[in-house]
Amino acid sequence: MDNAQLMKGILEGCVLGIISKGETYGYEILNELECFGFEELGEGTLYPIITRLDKGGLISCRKAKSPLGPIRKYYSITPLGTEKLEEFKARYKTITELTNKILFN
Amino acid sequence: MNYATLESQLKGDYREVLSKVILYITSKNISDSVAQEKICDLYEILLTAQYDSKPVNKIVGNDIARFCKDYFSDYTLKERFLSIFTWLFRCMLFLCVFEVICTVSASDSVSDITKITSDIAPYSLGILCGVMFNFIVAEIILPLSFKGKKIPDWVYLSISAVIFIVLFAIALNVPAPSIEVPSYILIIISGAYTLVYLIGLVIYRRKKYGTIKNPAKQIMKDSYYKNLTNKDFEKAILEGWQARYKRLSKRGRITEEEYLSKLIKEQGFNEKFDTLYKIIFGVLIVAFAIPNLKDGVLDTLLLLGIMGVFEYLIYKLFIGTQLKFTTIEKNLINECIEKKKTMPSYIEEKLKEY
Repeated sequence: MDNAQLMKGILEGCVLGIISKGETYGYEILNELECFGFEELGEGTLYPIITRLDKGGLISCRKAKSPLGPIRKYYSITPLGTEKLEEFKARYKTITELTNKILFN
Repeated sequence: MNYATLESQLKGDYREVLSKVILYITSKNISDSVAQEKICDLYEILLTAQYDSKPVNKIVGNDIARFCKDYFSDYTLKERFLSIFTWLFRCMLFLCVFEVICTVSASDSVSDITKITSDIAPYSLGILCGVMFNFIVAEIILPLSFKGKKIPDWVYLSISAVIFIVLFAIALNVPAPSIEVPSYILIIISGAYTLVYLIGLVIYRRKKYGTIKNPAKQIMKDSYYKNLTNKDFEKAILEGWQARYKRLSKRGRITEEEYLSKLIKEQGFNEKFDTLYKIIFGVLIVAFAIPNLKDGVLDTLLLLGIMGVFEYLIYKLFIGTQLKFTTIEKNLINECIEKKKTMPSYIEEKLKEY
């Protein structure tokens, strides 16, 4: 079974969910995902997801100096992103319920 | 961008990751504007991870090759295709300038310009060898260097250098059938391409970034990157000063308090020398030009231009590095003065940072 395909669909929603909690940045998003148990991710997986969300207008980006000096990108959710996140949550809930019925009933 | 300066800010595994990614973008010919932004983003994350002592594999995973592929996965075929136009622009610009210089220097009058021809076979062979070199490095050597941790990177770099030399020798020595084309046609074609490319670039940047300025260079204008110094150079200078102080103090030639004054004096001397170098280079250019004035103004101007470029390259090659060191030395001396320490104690404290 290909875990990568399973993860791909879920991660975008999870990253959007993390960003919806408040303005954040790449390193913090990775830490958050790790805290929730997504341990094998890295910037290589995260960056394309963020790029897709940004290009799709679901998040906005502003640049500011980080505490250590270099420019850092800070991400916030847009109204369109909030709408898409709610849709994702509803779809995920439905799919999870159906899958649980098949696999664990 | 000077990636070596960024690399020098990182240590151990963090530095190795950034080096590998830089190697990847160089070999894959990823465009500057894309590469610089991604390198800066990655650098910021690695610097933060280093500060937090977070293991680097939590940032990039355990497979650097896979990481690079994923990290640049949005560098689409369209953008790769566009980067070919940039590569072609550089070739055409070189061709245009080279042909103009050769044509002007070979012509005795304006009417001679249309009679002069150039052999394009060497250009074609050179381009073919260049493409082969890029392919071998990007598709064979680079994947091997990512896989093998036991073989150090300098071995792969040396192999690349040998391949380059061999292909260069082939390009110079293989007898190719001569293809003579009027020089003015080459100048028109290469000049037209250059102009169309530049106009297209302006329109593309305006549309994509809202500005005609190079987005990659805008990143470098940030004060953090502008003021960044190469930590490897800093460390080398400090270690050199420390060793020198130990030698001099052992012979009783200097005290701890006197060492800073000595370095300040030498610093002033280096600055005067730099001004002297600039004057010498300027005088040499004029000295070459004056005897040739009688041959014609056009030829003299051409000679001035070529001499100017040549001497600028020599200046940058030999004196440029020295200037970087002089600037770093000046900053270190100023920091020592601000901290009101003796130079030996400042060096000892500063070396602990690396």
